[in-house]
Amino acid sequence: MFKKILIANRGEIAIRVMKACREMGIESVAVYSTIDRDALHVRTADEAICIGEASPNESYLNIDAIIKAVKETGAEAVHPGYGFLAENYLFAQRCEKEGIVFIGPDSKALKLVGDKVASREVTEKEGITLIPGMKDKSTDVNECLSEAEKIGFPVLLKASAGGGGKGMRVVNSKGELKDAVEAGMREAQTAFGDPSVYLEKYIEKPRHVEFQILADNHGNAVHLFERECSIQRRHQKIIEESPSTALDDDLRRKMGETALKVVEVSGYTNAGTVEFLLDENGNYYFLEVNARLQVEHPVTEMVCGIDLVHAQIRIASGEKLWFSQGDLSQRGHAIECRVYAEDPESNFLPSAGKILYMKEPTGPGIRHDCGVYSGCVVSVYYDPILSKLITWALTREICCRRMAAALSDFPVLGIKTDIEFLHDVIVHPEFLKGNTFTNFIPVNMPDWKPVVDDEMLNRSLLSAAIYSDNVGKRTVVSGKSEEFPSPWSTLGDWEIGK
Amino acid sequence: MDFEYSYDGKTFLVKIDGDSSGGYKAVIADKEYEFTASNISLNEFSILLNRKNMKAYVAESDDGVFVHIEGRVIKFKKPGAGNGGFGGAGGEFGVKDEISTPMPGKVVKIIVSEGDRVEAGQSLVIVESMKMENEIKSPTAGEVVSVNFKNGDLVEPGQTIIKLNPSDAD
Repeated sequence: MFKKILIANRGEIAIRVMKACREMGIESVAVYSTIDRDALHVRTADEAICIGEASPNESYLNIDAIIKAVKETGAEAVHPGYGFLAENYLFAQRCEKEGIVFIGPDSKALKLVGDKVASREVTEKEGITLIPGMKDKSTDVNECLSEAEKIGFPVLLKASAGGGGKGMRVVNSKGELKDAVEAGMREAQTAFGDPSVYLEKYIEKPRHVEFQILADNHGNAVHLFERECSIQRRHQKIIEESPSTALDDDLRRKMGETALKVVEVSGYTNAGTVEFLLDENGNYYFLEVNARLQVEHPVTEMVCGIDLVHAQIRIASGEKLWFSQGDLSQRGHAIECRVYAEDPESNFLPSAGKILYMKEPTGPGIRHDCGVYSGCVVSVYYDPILSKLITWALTREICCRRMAAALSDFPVLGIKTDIEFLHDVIVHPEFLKGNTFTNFIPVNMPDWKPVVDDEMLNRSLLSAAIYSDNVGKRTVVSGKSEEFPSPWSTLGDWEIGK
Repeated sequence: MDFEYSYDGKTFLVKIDGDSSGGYKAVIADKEYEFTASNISLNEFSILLNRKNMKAYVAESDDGVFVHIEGRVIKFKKPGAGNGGFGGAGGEFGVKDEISTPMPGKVVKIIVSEGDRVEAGQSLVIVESMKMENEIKSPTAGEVVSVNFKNGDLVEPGQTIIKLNPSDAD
């Protein structure tokens, strides 16, 4: 087993991986940019090393700087988290060349599944059903136009090099295509360093269902069942759950077998996710392989009882899978809500700034994978994800109630977040019924605004006034002006024993 | 003590009197409240109002007081504070003729030029923040008076990217 792992990421996922390292007796190394000295991942690691300026290209995407940090700290392996370099085969290739273990698939498999077009070709040959789409990626607007006409509008525009909704757009007509392709290419260039885009048929009212895979380096692979991730805004998931309300045992078995087939034909190892679109008639289409630990991996961990980061590290160190498909089952229900610094009232625009105060929800069946703290500054340079709130319960109904309660007692003050919005999705009758489609938000939550009645407003005013009154009475204790007065300073004169 | 807060364009006066044991009397717009409050920290307390328990979390910035109560966050502006970062075009507190971004970012594309006639809702500029592109649309019909940034420039909140002369017909 490794003695030291460098985590080439930041935020909640870096912390998640560092905690797994600590549990396994492995030392962790954080890398950070110049503006991240105060970031929580730096505080969580055993060692930390600055790798460059704030701009991601100078730091978290800087392969040379990260490799140098690995050498300097003597780490034997790199965990890339998600985003940044996680699906960059050049980074994996460089690690292989330098004798560093990349915790993920090898560069060859990464290159294949990371290229949406190449991976379509391989899977199509195996008889796996795909959504009609372009045969090749493109950076040419005219080529996109003629391909879009062949496929038929509406079409979905995607960045060829990555996921996470970056660069993704629905294009309804010929007239909208040029602007959409140009904007998509710019976003793809910024986010992934490759402007290539790709078009496919847009399927209306689908569900997004994906299967978690674990494959070792010895030819063994299992799936850990599905996650449904249909609740999306800006084509990016914000609520995920397992199991899906749309699958029965038969469909689950069939989709799981297809997912394993995809992994087998791609020569894929370590943890990965096979994504499908599922239509209302139970037809499912292979979308892509996400060659990394997913943001939403905790829901699988909660229902399967397998720690996926532990598994990634053990597989990367050469261990054989220590369980088989028959050992796995789903128990209960888990939901994850992604907490972003963004404003749901103005098109989910990211919201940077200082978190003045926050308090994490706790309790039975509540897990909070968090990358921030009271007093930290959310930067404009990086993805606005703050944390992930996960609840587990034996039934979906209790799981939803537990999530709603946890979201209501989760203050994050100073910046805008989507917490209130997430709460209102979870308690929506259609969500509770399991009617979750990828168009859920535009259909059920258009022009969402938080409801504030006069009674609540008055109670809030009372709260503000109590606070202001206390601030006025506050005494300065040992130079820390933010401290609440200590009893020692307010008791007056007294002596012990009298 | 008297405190003033504004919310949604309205100003509220709260008269509050606390005794040494956490008992309070307060008046908001002639409505009287009597309750007790118990602090866990400066930011977190419980209020018992007619036996009903409410958990409140409060924090303040330079321009406002944030209150979290029953799952909702309300931001009150302190009297005399400016627009406090809500200066985006067409926003609640926005100025209609000066187009700015509510957060720092990079100008990726200026769509209009000086002298152009624009319609309400027309895209004026694309600004990238936190790896997402955001189109800033015109809050009004009018004419573009000046364009103060070019593609690739970094822009801070509140800086006027584009100045418009709204047309009276709007």
